[in-house]
Amino acid sequence: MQIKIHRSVLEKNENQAEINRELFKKHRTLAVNVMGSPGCGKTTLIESLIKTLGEKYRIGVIEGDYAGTVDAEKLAAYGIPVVQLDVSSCHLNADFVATGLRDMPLDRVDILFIENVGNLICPAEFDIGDLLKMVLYSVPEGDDKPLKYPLMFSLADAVVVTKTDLLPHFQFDISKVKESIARLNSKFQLFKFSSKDSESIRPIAGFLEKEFRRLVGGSPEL
Amino acid sequence: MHELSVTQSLIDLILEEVEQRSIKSVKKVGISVGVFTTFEPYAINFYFETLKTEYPPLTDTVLEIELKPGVCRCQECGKDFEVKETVSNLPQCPHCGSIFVEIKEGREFLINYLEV
Repeated sequence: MQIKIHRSVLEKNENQAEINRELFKKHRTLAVNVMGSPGCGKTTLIESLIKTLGEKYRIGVIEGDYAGTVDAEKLAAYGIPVVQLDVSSCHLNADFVATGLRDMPLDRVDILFIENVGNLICPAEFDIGDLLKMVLYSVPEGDDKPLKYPLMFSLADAVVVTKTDLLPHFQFDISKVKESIARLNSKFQLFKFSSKDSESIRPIAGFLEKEFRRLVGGSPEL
Repeated sequence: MHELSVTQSLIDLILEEVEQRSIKSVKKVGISVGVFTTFEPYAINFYFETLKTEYPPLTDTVLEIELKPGVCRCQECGKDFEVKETVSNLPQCPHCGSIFVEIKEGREFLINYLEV
């Protein structure tokens, strides 16, 4: 006898992701899912954004790491709420993020960066309830990555090419990157960032401010 | 690599149905995986075979995996088209030749039926 069932295997994660998303909206917290390969500069970018936006916005960070607390310690030094999640898997899921949210004072956080596990494949499959997806990728990784990891790049609201100070040393064509991402994504914005150039963070910070107004509304409650 | 956790989710879901319907043993489970997911059918099957031995109703269960075609919408001419195979090359619109498309369907991972 055959019993018809029509259920998504990921339904538990999808349901929890919706609960997380509603929670972020209720607290007017812009939750940003920061994804990218190990070593692409996720923590460095978050650090720069804390420095640039920290005066105007209350920032919090959830750090998903496979091992070690190096990143969480580095960011906690800024005197902001940081929750470390020891992820025993290759990605964060909605349940795990919900666990981290218990220790995050959301009513006192305007922008929450959720640093996903360094990986361009798995985090794309698991909705964590974020309001914005930011994908980073660094110049040394090569300009063909959007073609190799199409799902991740198809979901991105913003793509940040990092370590652009290395452009003179690599064969890396930014216009090729832009076109490859556009093949599967009609909404993304592309940014260039170098930690050596303090001005390069401004357009990214400006984008987040705009998205804050659009997605959670109004100005931060400082 | 992430197939282990999704296969465990699949097993949890089957066990939920088994308990609700008081099923003693499952002969076959039919699932479908969209072409635009990053879930490898081979790996899902491997983990299923390994994990099922721990659950008495599933020890003899065969997993049938169907690769579900995706649907893309052309960003230029607006027409929809089907994509049958896993993307090793990004899809191209068969109507106007544009390489700029949007994924509409093909990200599903569904359980379709149980055979008991």
